[in-house]
Amino acid sequence: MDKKKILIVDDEKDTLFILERGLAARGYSVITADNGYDAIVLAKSKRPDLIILDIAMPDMDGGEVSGRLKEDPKTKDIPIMFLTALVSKAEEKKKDHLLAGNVLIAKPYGIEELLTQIEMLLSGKRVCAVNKANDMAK
Amino acid sequence: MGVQNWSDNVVLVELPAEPRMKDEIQSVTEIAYDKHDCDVIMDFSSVDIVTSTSLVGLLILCELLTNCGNKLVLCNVSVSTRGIFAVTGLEGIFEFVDDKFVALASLQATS
Repeated sequence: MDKKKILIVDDEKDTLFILERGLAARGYSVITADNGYDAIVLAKSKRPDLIILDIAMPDMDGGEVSGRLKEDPKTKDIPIMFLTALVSKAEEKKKDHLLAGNVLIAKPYGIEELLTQIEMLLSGKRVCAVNKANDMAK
Repeated sequence: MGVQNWSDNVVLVELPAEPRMKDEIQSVTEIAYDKHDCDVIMDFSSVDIVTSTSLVGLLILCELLTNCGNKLVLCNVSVSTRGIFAVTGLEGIFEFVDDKFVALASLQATS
């Protein structure tokens, strides 16, 4: 079976390195970018199955990267997991409805929490659950 | 520096606590690079916390040794320190044993 490909984007190089090795050890194919510009180029050229995106980055933040990817038909359907220290764990779930099927993970996070959300995003269950919640809210 | 040549091809490192830990790992990586063929045992008895910089250093050393057919063995790792490896998903990458004698036996068993 082909390995699922994950693009990790974080300007903190130690974090990037550790996360890359941690996910590779769990059987994922991992590519990395330490800035938003490279992330967009890699997302378009390598077409990852999932993007893990730090929000607070210099030059181009995660929100802008996500916006540009969502504008492009080639990358608009790639699920994104946002990582941030700007939101507390308590606030994390309250922001979920703003993300249109993507996920927000507050730092600090553990690998198991990340893997659970990765599996949900890759399997499409996350998008279904959000759509169902949105339908019920109507 | 807490680095001892236990034999021609086994280096034992008594790892100091942070913030000296990352420099020690860097020194050991240079030694391993120069020796070409050695296994490394890292004793974590004095370590209670591991920073991300030191984790990266350990990963680089582990990959350097593995690529040369050698091993990095970590011993005397406390439960809380081991938790840092677990939470970052790196626990399966490293070999953990109880103490340096078990580490040495592990190296001899695979040599």
